[in-house]
Amino acid sequence: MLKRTIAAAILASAPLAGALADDDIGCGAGTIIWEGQEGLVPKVLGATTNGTFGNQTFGISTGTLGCSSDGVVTADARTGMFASANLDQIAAEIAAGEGETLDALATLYEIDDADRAAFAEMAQAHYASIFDANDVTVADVLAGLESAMAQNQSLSRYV
Amino acid sequence: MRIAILIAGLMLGAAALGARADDGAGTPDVAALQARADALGLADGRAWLTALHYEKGFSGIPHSAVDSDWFFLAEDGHRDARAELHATLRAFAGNRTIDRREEPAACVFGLRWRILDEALDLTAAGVPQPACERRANWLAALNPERLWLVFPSAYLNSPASMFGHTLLRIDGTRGSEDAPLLAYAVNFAAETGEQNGLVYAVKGLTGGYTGRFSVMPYYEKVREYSRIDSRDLWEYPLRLDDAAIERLMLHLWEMRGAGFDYYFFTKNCSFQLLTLLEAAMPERDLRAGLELWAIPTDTVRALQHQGLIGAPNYRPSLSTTISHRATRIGDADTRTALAIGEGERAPGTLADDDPVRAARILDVAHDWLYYRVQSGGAERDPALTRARGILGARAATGVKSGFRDATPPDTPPQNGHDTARLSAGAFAEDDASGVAINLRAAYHDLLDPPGGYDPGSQVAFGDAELRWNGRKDRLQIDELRVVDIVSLSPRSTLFRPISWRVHFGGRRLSGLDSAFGGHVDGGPGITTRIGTLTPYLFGRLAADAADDLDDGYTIGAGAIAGALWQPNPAVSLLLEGSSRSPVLGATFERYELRGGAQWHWGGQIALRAEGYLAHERGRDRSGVRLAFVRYIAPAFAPAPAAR
Repeated sequence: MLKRTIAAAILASAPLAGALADDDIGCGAGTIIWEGQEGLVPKVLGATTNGTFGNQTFGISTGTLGCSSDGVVTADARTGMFASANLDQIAAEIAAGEGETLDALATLYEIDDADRAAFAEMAQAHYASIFDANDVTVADVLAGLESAMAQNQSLSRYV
Repeated sequence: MRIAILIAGLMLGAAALGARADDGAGTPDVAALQARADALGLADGRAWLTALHYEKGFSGIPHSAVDSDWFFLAEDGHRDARAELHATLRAFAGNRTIDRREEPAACVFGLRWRILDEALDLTAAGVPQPACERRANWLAALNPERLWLVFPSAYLNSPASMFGHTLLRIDGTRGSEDAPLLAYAVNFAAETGEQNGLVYAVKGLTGGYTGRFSVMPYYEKVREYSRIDSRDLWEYPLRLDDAAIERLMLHLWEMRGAGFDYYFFTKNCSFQLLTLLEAAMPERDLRAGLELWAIPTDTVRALQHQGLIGAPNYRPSLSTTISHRATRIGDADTRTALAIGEGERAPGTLADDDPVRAARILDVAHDWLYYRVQSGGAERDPALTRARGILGARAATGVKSGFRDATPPDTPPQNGHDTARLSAGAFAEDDASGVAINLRAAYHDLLDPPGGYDPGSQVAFGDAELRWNGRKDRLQIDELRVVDIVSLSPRSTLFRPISWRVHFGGRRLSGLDSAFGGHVDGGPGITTRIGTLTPYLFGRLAADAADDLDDGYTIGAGAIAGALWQPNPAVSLLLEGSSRSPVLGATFERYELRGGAQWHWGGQIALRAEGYLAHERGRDRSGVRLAFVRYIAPAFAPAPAAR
C-alpha cells in the first residue's frame, strides 16, 4: 500500500507545483529544507520516503509537512504524511496499545470500529518488530505495520 | 455533500451560460451592472466592505487592511470600495485572469462573485462563473461541515503567552468525523523568521511583519501546541449555518496568499480570524470593542457574546498530561519514572508482578523524556535510543495503563474575569491620604480571581494609579506599570522550571511627595506549591532614575520571598518580604513587608486591601489602600435581531 501511496502522491501532486509555492505557508519548515526545490513533489517525497530526513522522530520533523495542493493533503498521501508528522506519538501509542493518534491512523486505514481494538492490540504485540531499529523510517514503520496486519485474520482485509 | 451540490450548481450555471453566449446573447453590459450596483449602494454595504477587509483605522479614512496588490482589481481599490466593485464587475465580465493566482477573477474572488450575483443576478446578466476546478477540488477535499474556534492557552512558564492565539478547525474531510486530528486548521500567522528578540518585538509592534491565512492539517497544530509547546487547547464549537460556512470557505480561498500588516497587540491572529468570520456573516459586527487591542480571550468572548460558540472541549497538553499522571502514580513511582527517563535505571528492571503499574511508570518515563527533548533539556540522539528502550519495555507489558485524561480546569478561559480593570478606593500613608483610582488595560495579576487564567502567572500591561491627596488637595500620578510580569512556576519531581519576574514602568520611590521616575526590576526565582499555597523566592536587580535621588539614579540588588495563597475561588492572599541594597548610584536601601488580599464575587466585582511596612533610607514608612475592583469587558456589539 505504501508504495502505491507514494506513487499516487507523486502523480497527484506533480501538476500543482508552480508559482504559488511561495504562498504555501502551511508548509512550514519544509519549504526551507527544500529550498530551491519548489513544488509539491520534493515536499511529499521528503515527507513520505525519508530519503532526506533519515529517521523523523523526536520532533525533528517539526513543520516539514502539510505541503500539498493548495493547503490540503491529497487523499492518497494522507497516511504517509500523517504518520511522518506523528511518528513519535505513533510509537508511544503502539507501545501503549491505545491512543488518539493510533485511532486516527486506524481511520486512515479505514479500519471498522469493531476492529479498532484488535488493531491496537496487534500493533502493541508487534512493537518490537515494527520499531526494530532506532533509525527506522516512516516507510519502515508503515510497512512493518501493514505486514503485521496482513498476517492478522481480522485485519488483513484493510491492507 | 452540500459543497458538492454547490460545485455542481456552479458548473451547471456556467454550462448554461456558455450555451446562451453561443446563442449570441452578446457581451454583458458592464456599465448597466455598475449603475445597478451603485443604485443599490452595494459598495457601501457591509457584505462588500467586509469581503475587502475595509477598516477605518486611526485616520478615520476607510481603507483595506490587505496589502497585496493582486487582491485589488482597481488601481485604488484598497481605498475606494466603489472603484473596486466596478473593476470587479469588469474583470468578471471580461473573464480576466488573476496572474498571481493563475485563475479567473471569478474563481479567485468567490465571495465577491457571490455578493454581486445575489444582488445583481450576474448569471442572468450574461456574466457566468467559470467552473473553478481548482477551488472545487480544494473544497471537496476539505468538505467543510463544522467549524471550531481553537484557543491554545499559555506556555508553561511563559505568562506573556497567556495572551494566547486562536485558530479555526474545519471538520468534514474524510475521517475527521471519527478522528478530529484528521480535520484541517485555518491559521493566521506572521512569517517572522527572526532570531533577534529586539528586532522581533519592534517589528511585531509596528506592523513590520506580514500575516497571512493558511490551511494545514489540524494534527500539525495539535502537535505544535500540545506536544512541542505544551499548551492546553480549548476547542469551541462554532454555531455557523451552512450558508455562512460556504461564504467563509469562498472567502478563505480568495484570501489565499493575501498579506496583512501584522501587529502583535491589535491586528493579530485572533483579530483577523474575526474579520474572516465577519466576511462570512456581514450582518454581525465582531470586532467592536477590539479596536485598540485584541486579546485572544476577548475575541473568544466576542463570539460568545454573539451566541456563536458552545461549551468547549479541553485537550490537555503533554506536560499537563504528564503532571496529571505523575500525581496519579504517586511520588515514589514518579521518582522511578524519572530515574528511567534519565537513564539511571534500565526500563526492563521493573517488577513484572504488576504489569499495569510498570506500564504507568514507563508511560510517564517516556513522555517526560519526550518533553525534555522538546523543551531543549535533553540531547535528541541519546534520548531517542533511551526512549525506544522504554517503549520496548512498555509494549512488552502487553497491558493498557488505564490512565484517564486530565480533567479540565473548573473555569474555561472565556469565563475568567474580564481583561480591563478599574478600581477606586481610599489610601492612607504617613504623610498623605485620599482617593486612589486605578485603571489597568490588561490582563491579570496574582490577586485577581484565578479562574480561567494560568495559575501563578501575572501579566499586567498599562496599569496606572492616580491619587488625589486630600491633605494637599492635589491629583498626582503615583505609579504607571507599563509591563509587570510574574511567573510562579512550581517545581515538582519531574519539572524544574525557573520562575521569573520583570517589571518596567514609572513610580514614586517614597510616597507622593517624592519625584516620579523610571523603574525597572526583575530576576529569577524558584516556586513550589503546597496545596493551595504557593511559596516563592526570587533574586532581584532593580534600577530607578528619579530627580530626587543623589546622582539621579540608583541600582540595587536583593531578594524577594513570599507566598500566594488561594484557599478557595473567592479569595486570594499574598504576603511578601523584599530587600534591596545599593550597588551603584544613590545609596538607596529598602526593606519591605507587603500584603494584599482580594475577595471576588459575582465574577467581575471584587474588594481589594493592600498594605506595606517599609524601612527605607533609615526611615520607616507604611501605607494602606482599600478599593473596589470592577473588571471591564470590551464594548462588544449586540448580536443582530433574529430575522
